[in-house]
Amino acid sequence: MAVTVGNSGAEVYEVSAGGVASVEFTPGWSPTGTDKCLVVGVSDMNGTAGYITSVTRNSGGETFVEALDVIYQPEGYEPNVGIYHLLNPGSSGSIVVTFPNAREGIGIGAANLNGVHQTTPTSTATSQTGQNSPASITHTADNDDLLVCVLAAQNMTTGTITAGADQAVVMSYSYTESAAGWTHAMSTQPGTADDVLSYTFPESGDYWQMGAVAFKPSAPYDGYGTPRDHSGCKPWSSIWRPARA
Amino acid sequence: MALAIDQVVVMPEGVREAEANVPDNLSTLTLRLYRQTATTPTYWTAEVTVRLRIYISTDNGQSWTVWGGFGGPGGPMLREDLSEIPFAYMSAGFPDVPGRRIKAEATVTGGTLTSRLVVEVT
Repeated sequence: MAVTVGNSGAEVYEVSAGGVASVEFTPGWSPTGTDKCLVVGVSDMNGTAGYITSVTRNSGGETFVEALDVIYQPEGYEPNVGIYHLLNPGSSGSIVVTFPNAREGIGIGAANLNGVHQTTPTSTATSQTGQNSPASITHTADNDDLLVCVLAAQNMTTGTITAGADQAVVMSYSYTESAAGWTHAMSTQPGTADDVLSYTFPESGDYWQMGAVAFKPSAPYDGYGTPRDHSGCKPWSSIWRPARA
Repeated sequence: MALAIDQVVVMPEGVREAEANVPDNLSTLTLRLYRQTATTPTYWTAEVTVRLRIYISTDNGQSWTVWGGFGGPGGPMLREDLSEIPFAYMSAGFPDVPGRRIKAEATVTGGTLTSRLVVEVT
């Protein structure tokens, strides 16, 4: 069974924030389905050092596992992306993302995934940095995997970004309060699509960082997608004839 | 019609709460707390740490669920272009069900908080 977003893709949530060192939010749904996994993508910007300190739930009673937390420092400023997950989450609770210092811009996306392997839920996450449009990352995924990617980009002063054709948007913010402007985005992509995740910017000259990870299915992929029905096949004995003498 | 609370607040150390009804058919909540800048030198100064939380009730205040909030120390904060960031903010979806009330809870440590607080539901 392929990994999917819960409730037919409806269990997603997005938050934007800025000028703060921690953000707390409660998604507008309770995680449903089987073999659940809450995934939180964090995209943030700031001019001083620091990664993401932690992602917790239920007043710290549940701690998300870090799949990725990377910073790109092309000019001393830091597009930071993180992907965190929590297996078999409880039915309710607020999520808190904490940073070591206040961040200028923050975008957070959350999604409840169904059908995730409860022992080895992810591939090894990867990241990619670059400049100019488009931003893209290639991450290998099997057919029943679900890819999750997060983007942080700077110097966006006009317009919005466009995700690749196979990507379902979880979170997307572009804002221009300063001359620099920041973009935050998170999306999912089925493993049946190609392994490329991308965003197209309305202008060039931007530094960006992307991170990606594949969530693995609870029933491991067998190489054939859905199980094949062999009931109509001829028996081997009718196909293989005895060798001629 | 949107709900908009916009007022200057002075809060000594401790926890303060305030409640308000929310009109129906509104689905996004935005929270802003103004930081110290050159033009607002007394707002949310560096020694003051704030945790601001918004709770939501759909049973007229009988039970409350955390919608969200933010926290951190005050003091001036600069953007990449060295302009000042005037406020901390957070914006996210808000469950659109009838009969909602919200409660704002501010926890202040390190000194007295003076700031401008804006809560908008649109």
